[in-house]
Amino acid sequence: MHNNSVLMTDVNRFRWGQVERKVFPYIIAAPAIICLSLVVISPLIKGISLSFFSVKFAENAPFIGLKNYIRLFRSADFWHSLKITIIYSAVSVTGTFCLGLLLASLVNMQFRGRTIVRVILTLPWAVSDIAAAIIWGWMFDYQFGVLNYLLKILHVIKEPVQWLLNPHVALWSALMASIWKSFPLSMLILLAGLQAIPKEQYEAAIVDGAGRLQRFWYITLPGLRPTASILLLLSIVWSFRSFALIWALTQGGPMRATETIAIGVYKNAFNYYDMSYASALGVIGLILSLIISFFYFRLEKAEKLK
Amino acid sequence: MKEVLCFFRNKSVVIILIGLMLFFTLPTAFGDTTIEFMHYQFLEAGKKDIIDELISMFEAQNPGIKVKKTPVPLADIQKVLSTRIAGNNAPDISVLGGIQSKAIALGWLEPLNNYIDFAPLKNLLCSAWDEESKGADGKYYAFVQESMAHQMFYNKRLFAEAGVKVPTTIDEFFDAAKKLTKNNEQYGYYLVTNPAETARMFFDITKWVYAYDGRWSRNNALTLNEANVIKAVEMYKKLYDAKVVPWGTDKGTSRKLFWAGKIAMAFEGPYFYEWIRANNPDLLKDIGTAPVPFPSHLCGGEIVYLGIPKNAPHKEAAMAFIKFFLRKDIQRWYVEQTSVEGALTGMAGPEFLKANPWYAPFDGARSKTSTVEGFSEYSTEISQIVTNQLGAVLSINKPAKAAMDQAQKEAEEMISRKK
Repeated sequence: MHNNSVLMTDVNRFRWGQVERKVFPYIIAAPAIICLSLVVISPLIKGISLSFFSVKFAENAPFIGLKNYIRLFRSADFWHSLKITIIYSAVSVTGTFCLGLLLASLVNMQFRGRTIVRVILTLPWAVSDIAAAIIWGWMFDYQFGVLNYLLKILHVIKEPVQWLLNPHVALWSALMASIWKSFPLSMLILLAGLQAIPKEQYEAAIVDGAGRLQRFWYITLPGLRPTASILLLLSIVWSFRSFALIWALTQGGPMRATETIAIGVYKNAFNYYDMSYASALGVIGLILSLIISFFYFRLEKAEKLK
Repeated sequence: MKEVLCFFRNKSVVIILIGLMLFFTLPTAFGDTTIEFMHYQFLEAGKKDIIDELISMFEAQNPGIKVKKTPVPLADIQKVLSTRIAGNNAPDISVLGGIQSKAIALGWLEPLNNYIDFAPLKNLLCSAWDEESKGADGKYYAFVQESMAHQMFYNKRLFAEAGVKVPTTIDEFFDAAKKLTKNNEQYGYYLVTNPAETARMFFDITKWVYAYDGRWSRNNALTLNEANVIKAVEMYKKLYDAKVVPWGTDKGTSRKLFWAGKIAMAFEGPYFYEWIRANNPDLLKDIGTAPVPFPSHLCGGEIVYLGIPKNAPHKEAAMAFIKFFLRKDIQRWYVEQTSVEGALTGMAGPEFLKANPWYAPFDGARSKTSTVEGFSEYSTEISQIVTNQLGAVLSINKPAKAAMDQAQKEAEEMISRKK
């Protein structure tokens, strides 16, 4: 009897231990999940549901189904914003990646003062979006901007350029500022990736007579692939959401030349007080980001299967 | 239990608890009401002191009502107010920060007529009350705190150096601006030329629309492409092309250039005199004022509206403040302190006018905002559409007529989509 009760206690203790081990991670993660639900998931669900109503500003409003989405897809403004978003994202990501890769390769080399150079190159990332917009806004100024001044004294231009006033130029000006702001993070991530590539591969390639370009193409790029692909995915998603820098520089103008979907969401919500329409626009932005992520993970899976 | 009793045996804890209870309940117990007043002017040097004094006078004459000041920057007023009203946490009185039409249309505000008899004040109310104060039911919802018609400030020294007389017509104004402009060192005038400053650019073009006696709407129909509006847009382009205005500079910087004596003329409200005093008092001796050189004698203006949200917790007490502010003696005091017209017209006394001759063009001048009459709830969208097209006229030489025709079309489509 005594042995049975001891055995039962041991069994119960064993089962409870198993349950504890299974449940413990969830208990530890619970506070974070609760916070995330309150701060992220709950507003997300609210925002999506708002897009199916006709809400001007937080009053009780009728359910209108897909009318906001129909209005959105019929609106020339939406397609324009989508086009601007795609161009902005493509150029920003490409520019950031290429500049980041170039500079990562440079600061990966051994030279005197390398640490200081790395710190200086990281500075743009440390500046807030608003501060960056103010700095670039002044640099782009038609009358007093340093860019026009320098280009004029170098005889590159005869007349000052309307960097932020001309709708044909404004988007490229915003992209310049955006790439300047974002390249340090790309550089740092790619630098970490470069440092993870075994040196022996380069040594073997040198022995085999591979030139600099060949080493870059056949060793560096494949070695960077895992790092680069996640960096590209994150960059695309971030560029889709990019708001503060563009808003502070141009507020989506001139003539909507820099009005991305994120700017459109803000304008519709807080300038025009059309909350539901803004929510619908936001949902479309979210869907586009999810589609990109989906294709990325499909490609990754296909590569792994290969 | 023992520990709890020990805790309360500690006398200092008991005293603190009783003190806290009294602090939070005494005002309510004795019937004191605290009204929350939200305004950006609590952050403005000079104006803050005047409002503080106004509040002190009100509290002295209304024992039992205290005013709690909530300063919010002008740029944030719309967002903060609309969020607080939606969250059922509305202040008792708030400046409306440009959303008065939307606020009235959305039913956010308490009608003032329920508490104030406006009949005796009918001939005293300034013209600003006809602008955006009323709802569709004809009741007043927004209280006019300040009404500031814009007139011309000019730099007498720059005029004397250039040998230019004060212009009295639009053509004279343009010629004067050209003579006063010197190649990036000095400009004749300033305008907002960057569409990123949508509201300010729309306000500036509206001044010129009024100059030519144009209107953005007439008889409940949009008239963005009427002949007088097109003339205004062409004039804006003419001033821009002649480079008599700095290009792309934001309004704040342009004002600083004026205070530095680098710009000769500006169309601004009476507050501008105090701003000059605050930023460059030495310039004051060179400053002159004159009526705007427009045949219509009408320039744009700014009106500061206050409102009492429908879900404000202390509406009666808030209305007491509004009634106090509406008294003739208080209005006279306010005008003479701020040099700005208040809710009632002609309140500036003869001694004040004698001591402040610069104020003469502003006294009794009609102030008209840039709100599109009959379409005020779409003003933000319409201003965006107009400034987009105006930007095209300025930067890529789109013809004014084509631009305003496009603006009319887009605005009509936008309104029919939203209705």
